[in-house]
Amino acid sequence: MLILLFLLPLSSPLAAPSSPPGSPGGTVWTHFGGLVSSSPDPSLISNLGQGFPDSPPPAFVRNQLQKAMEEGAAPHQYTRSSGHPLLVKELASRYSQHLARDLDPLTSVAITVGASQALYLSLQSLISPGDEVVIFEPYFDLYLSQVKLAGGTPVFVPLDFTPFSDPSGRGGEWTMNPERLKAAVGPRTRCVILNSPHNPTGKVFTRGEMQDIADAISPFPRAVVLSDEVYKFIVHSPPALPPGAPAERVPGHTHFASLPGMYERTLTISSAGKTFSATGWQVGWAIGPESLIAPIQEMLPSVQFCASTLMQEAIAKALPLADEEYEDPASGKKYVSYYAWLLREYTEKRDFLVRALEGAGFRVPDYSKVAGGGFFIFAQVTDEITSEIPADVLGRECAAAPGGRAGEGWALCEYLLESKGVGLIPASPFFSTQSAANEQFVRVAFCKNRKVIEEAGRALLCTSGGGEEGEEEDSQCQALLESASLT
Amino acid sequence: MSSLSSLSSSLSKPTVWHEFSPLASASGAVNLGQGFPNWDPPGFVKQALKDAVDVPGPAVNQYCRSQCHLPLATALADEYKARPSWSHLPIDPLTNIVSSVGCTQVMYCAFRSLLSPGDEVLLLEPAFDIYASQVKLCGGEPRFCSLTTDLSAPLTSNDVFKFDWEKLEAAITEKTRVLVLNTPHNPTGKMFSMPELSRIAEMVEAHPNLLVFSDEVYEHMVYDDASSPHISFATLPGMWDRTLTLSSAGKTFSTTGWKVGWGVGPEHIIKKMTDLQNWVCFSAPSVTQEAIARSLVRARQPYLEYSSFYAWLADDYRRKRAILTEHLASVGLTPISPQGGFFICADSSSITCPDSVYHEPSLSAPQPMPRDWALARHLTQTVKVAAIPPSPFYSPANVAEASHYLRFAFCKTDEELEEAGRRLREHLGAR
Repeated sequence: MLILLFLLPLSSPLAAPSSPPGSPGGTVWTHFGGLVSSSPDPSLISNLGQGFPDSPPPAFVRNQLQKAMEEGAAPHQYTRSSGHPLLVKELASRYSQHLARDLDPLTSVAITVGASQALYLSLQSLISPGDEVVIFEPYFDLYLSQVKLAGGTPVFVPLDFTPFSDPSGRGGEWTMNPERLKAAVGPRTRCVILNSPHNPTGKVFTRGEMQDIADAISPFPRAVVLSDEVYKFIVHSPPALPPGAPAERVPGHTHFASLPGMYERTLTISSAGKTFSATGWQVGWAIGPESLIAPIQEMLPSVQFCASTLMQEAIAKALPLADEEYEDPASGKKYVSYYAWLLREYTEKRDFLVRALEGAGFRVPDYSKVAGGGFFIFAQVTDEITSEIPADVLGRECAAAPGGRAGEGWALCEYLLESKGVGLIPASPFFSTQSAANEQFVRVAFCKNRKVIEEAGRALLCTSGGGEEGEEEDSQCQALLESASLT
Repeated sequence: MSSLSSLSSSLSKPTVWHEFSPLASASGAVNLGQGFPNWDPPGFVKQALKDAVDVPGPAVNQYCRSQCHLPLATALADEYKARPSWSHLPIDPLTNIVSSVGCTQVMYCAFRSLLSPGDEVLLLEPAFDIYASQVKLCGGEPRFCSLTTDLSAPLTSNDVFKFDWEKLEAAITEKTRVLVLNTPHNPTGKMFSMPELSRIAEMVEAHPNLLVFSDEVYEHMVYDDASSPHISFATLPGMWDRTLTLSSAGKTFSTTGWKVGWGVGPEHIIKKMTDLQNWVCFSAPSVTQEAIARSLVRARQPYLEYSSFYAWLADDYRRKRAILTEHLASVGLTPISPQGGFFICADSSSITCPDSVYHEPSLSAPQPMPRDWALARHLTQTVKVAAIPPSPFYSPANVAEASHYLRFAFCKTDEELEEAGRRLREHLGAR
């Protein structure tokens, strides 16, 4: 009788709604997170794996919650289901400028629990059985799970990798092939998920590439673009602007919805989490035409009634302050805005890690030539590095790994964690199929505090076990570190 | 348009809340409609949030564990294990607790992860209106079974509102996947007794595919521990493995806008919900979860002259219940005194509603406009005291059962309750 209780009929792929994708062996996150937490001293690990900051939000953001606790200072009860009035007004105003059109706060905005929920609800509202969703690969693994949960069929469009041997010097750049995209889009296409800046590669889609996407979907009126823009304020290496092009409101970032004819075809999704190092605040949003936003708004009362009034009010109050002059708490140096400081901070950290990774034998893009955004470096491993992986780690059985075995990238990350205390994430889970090519990449996060980044650099570069050879390696290591030091 | 998208489009009607909140505001009414307090959370809860924001590193300001922020899971496990009726149950913070964005999203994740298409969910009417729309959004079929009303009984919610056992028994079929219990009950304030819950447990035993979701958000608003204690269905023999117990911080700590809710249950239920939540929003906000974790501990300590915050809370609401009961009775709105929760269902039979109100345009009313809806609009606009019509808490076929009731909330300041009383007497006259 008890066994009968737990046997649920499996949902057929065409029935709605679908069960969540199972992950019996765990995910790349639970696997590597588990390795970190079960290590002898987790505090000694330089964890550049998980894609969220390790420091709190800036003081002006935290202060909004602090001040909200004063008597009568803030609303503590339910708010409007579609979004707290103060926040939707602020966002409508900002996006009206970004998209150069007049947005109605009541009909163009839906507030969600982080961008993740905006994506979830977008897909839930749009997908009917048989619908296809175009996903560029490599991809943030959440997308695939959410598409399946909505009953959609994923259609993968691989991005092209520019080898480091390429004479242009743009090795490491990922590009979109418009012909490949055109071949993947058709009458069954309901969504194209665009993530720029891109997780995990750090790619920034150019205006030209976005126009190619617009051209590809134009003949198919059902196709909607979900534009995940959570890293948009961290374009550390902007793409070159075409001559005569106007300066962008958000440096280096093109809003897909601002392209001709695309506002009606786009759900623009973003959040406060990455911008303000407040991923635990979970304030996200979807912006778009009433035809696309209304179905999301309709679901919100049944999903959660409303998102947290407290967190929404705090972010609404913080947003205008981010445009004001910002003083670096450590150095006292003043920046024209918080966004300017954020870019500078991430650029310095990126540069340090680039040198450390190169010194350790990885191949990384030359960001003076390659555009980049977000806080991930997508590094290519070389034989020099992989030759160090112990034979008993490479290829061993591992339920969480793609294919159930630790491929080169996966094994390398396990080895680096154990031997050097540096946590990276293998890229293989971000591809739809397993291949030797996919195993060559690892994702390195630099959204960490300076000390952790320095430690990681030191650990990656300095491999000596002592002795004469060790001393020489040490001094080279020291020199590299000094030249790259985060001042 | 096929099933998934059409499910969400079936929700396009605004809810009763979307009509009455703006109406109350526009009319300058004392809002005894929507069930949230009009005061700040207690000082220790606000302090807990301030402390939470200041925790260094990523522990609180960044993503927490998808299942539940661990300090909150630990605090909840401790809280439930400390309750005598729960002490025999194995509550592991790592496997038996899930948190989400208010109890509402806990319920959503439960339905979404545990219902297969076509599964039935049995709701006891009157039922919080969101349950039915959640069931439909998640591909299930809501079914309804009404509580009976006996106004010849003593006028308390436990005595007036009862179960029709034959009807309930008939309503549970092989397709029934979930039975939703809500105790203390919104809107009536009824608290399900041990004999009643035991009878339900027998039915659950007889139907192996049936799970119970027990919504207990008003669990600390209990006015007579001796004769009407709060009982969690999960604590009945054999029911732990069949039950998801839901609750939240919102009503207890006057933080409905913080949206911290949780579910407690056996691993097989909690795991499915967690797997789903991973993809819905990844995790609920961590900051508020941390604040509530700390508040749960503090709430068990002496508070003012009381043994705990909960003891103070129950006493304060008991006092407010008396104030509103008297005001309602004084104008012939016969109150059915609730044993729990902060709502009073009042019998409105002796009040007349002007005909014109029935023809007013309404965003959300069933057509033709039911009597209770019209009366609630009249009270809100003319008497300037907002109440909620209970008809949204009934399925369309049973809306008439609500026609002679109105739901009033007493989670309001004493001043507001007094003002409401004054306005009621001014317009309806003392009886």
